Amino acid sequence: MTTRREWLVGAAACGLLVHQARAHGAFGPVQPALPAPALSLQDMAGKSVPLPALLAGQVTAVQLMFTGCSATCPIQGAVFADAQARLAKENAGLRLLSLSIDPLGDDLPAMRAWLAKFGAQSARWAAALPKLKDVDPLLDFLRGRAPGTDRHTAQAFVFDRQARLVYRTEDMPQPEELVRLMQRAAVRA
Amino acid sequence: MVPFGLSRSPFGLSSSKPGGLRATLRQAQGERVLPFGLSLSKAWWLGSVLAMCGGVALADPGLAVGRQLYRGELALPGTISGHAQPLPPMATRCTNCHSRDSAAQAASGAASFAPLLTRERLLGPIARRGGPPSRYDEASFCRLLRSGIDPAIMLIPRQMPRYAIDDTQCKALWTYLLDAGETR
Repeated sequence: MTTRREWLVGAAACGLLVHQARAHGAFGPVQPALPAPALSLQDMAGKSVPLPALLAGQVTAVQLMFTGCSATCPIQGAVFADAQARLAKENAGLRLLSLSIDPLGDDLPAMRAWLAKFGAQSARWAAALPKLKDVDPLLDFLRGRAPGTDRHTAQAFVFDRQARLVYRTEDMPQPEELVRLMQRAAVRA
Repeated sequence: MVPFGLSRSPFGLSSSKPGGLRATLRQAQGERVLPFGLSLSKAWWLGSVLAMCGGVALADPGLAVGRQLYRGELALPGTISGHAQPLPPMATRCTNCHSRDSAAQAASGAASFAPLLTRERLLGPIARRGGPPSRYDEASFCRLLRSGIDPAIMLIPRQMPRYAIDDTQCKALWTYLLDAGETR
């Protein structure tokens, strides 16, 4: 016979598990995979491109950044630079994309200079600027919002070839682990 | 030419208000009087003393090294916890996060990304990261830089690199920060 105390302990344990599940929802596999929203971005050539079109056809690791960010963004840049070096041996279907969250402060020359600072090779690592009205929807979709000066997490977001979000990494992922996740997404897609 | 930019004072050279009655009398006797009642000769003497003090401070090799380490002018190898490769020097500068005037802050008007490393904050006692009140000393400061463990045995956020800093460099950085460092 279950006592009242056992019921209470069980209910508390369930509550704790639900809380933990929510807390861990910020990173890990995204199931089911989420199609990228149809936000419009400016690519490095100055062309306006829908996000799904920018992602389709390749496995892409996306990061949020802005060029005026001095705290986490240099570390994020270093993580992508390391991942780029590891991807050199991989096929061309794996690439990196840095998305600015500061369309007022960033422009194409600033974004190009930021990429150059980290040795980005255009075939492997690109960047793009969303429109101001699309920044919040982008942060909401990725769950990439963070409190404080930088406003964004230092996660990477892995999209498959169908432009679907399949994985959210932890903050500042290990480059080798990021590459492994991309390889896995390429095999599955 | 008045030394040390005093001629650009908003009070102007001829104003007698800042120096009061004595300054007015000295002016009347033909002595050139600066704001706050300083004569040219006294201003020069005071400036020389201040310059000498500044020179002594800059001449201290520990302080100079500490400042260079803090600003990233001397590379300080750092690695994100769990990563195999060290970060490039541009990503390990203390001032990237512990600064009032990063570009991001200037744009947003927000506070420093990480705490400003003032003498008061270091020598505390301050409750940090949910731990009990604690204060740094040189040993605990160096341990934090190397391992990420603060004086209350609390782990700092992963965003801060763990530094490969030797004892001499760490002493220089500690000395620089206690000397008021960037917050002077």
